[in-house]
Amino acid sequence: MNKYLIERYKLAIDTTPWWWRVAYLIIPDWDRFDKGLLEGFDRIQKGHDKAFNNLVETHLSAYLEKGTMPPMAISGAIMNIAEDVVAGRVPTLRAGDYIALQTFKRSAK
Amino acid sequence: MDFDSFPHLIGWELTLACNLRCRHCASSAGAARSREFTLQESLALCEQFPELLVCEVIFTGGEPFLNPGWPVIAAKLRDLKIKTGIVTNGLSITDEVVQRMCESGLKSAGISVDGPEQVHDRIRCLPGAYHKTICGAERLAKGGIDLTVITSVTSLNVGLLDQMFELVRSLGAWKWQLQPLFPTGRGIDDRELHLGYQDFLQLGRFIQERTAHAGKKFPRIVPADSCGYCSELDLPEFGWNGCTAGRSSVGIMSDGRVKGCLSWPDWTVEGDLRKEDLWTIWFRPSVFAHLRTFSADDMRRSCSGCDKASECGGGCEAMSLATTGEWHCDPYCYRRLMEIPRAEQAIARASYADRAVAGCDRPLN
Repeated sequence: MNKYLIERYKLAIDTTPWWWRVAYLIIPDWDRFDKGLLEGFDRIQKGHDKAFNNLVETHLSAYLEKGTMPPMAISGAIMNIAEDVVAGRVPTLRAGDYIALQTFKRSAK
Repeated sequence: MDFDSFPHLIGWELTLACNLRCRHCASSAGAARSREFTLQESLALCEQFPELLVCEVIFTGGEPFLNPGWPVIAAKLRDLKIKTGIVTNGLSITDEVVQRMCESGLKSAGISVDGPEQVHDRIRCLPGAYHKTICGAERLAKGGIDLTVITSVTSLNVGLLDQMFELVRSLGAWKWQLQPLFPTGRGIDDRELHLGYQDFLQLGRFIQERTAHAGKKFPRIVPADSCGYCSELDLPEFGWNGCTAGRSSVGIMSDGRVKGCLSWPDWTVEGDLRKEDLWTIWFRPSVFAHLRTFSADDMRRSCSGCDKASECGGGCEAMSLATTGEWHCDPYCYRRLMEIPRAEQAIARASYADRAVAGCDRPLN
């Protein structure tokens, strides 16, 4: 089971002029999932973000628990998430960071 | 990476095959494309959508119900938690089709009705088409499908919209989408259908007045993207913030080619899903460059120098390309048309092809 999960359906969307723009994806923390927000959990487990969640968890855990720097291409994204975790905020994922992580995941295939 | 938006809405042409040969068809639909996606390819494509944060897929065609794989594809998208709808001419809708729609999670449909019986059949080139379409619409509504009526507005029906409103209401439609004819595909040479300036303004005024009087009653009128922009005829709830194609929406052709919008000409194709996946195409640095990176200086023709350029972006790119061959210059902007002297507006059938003669390319001052 993943400790850090991306709930991709809970998008915070910025509707500023020009076009709809994803600003953040909310990452529910483990406690919230333990409290029964399982609908999203099911979606993720049955969905297609498992590899993505594994990627985030692997590098986030390594960074937070062992101080291992993530690969350059995703270091900004992982450190942004880590910053939220350390500060006790609900971790969020900027759209640009999401793209960087997905791109990294895809390049590793 | 500078561009960080996603294709939240996908228009997916399931097949170009069609059981009608409508005079206005922008896709010139009829025969299927030579190498349309197989069911297996279609299902594999669905798997690409979640990571691109796709929220909604609309099946179009041709007549999408002629792709026998539609229930399987719809069910796949339902399983991926992606909302799915379909646009149909209504001829194939039996009770069994409605049942399969419900089973596969296809809960909304747009059905094309282009006028009262005589007008509809004349545009659809098939006697009896109206009756079948209306029966199809009634089956959809009875089956609990969210029904939208879509009307391609042409010179043959623009004067009949009041009459049609009652028809649409009687069908139990939630929404009525009014789409001015794109002069492309089969519609390009059929000048009898073309809208003149006054026709466009008549449409805009109809939408405004009907919406004002309707309150919260159904159907809600939904003006298409090519009804606007930045004028007193705009509806507040459908304010125009620029064309979304290539920014938050994308079109997928039945053979896997990708365009910003399915109403754009084929020279705008940006990729082929048999060669690259959608993520790669969507985030390629040069892709949809005209839509993603431009300034007021890129406005052309009638939009050049317009003080609303940065807000509007030149209107509907499909209409712009269909009428001028260029980006960022939809000449049928209400704001602009309202400033054209009435004498010029009154030019009978000042059709799309005649726009330059009629002065439509004159800059707004």
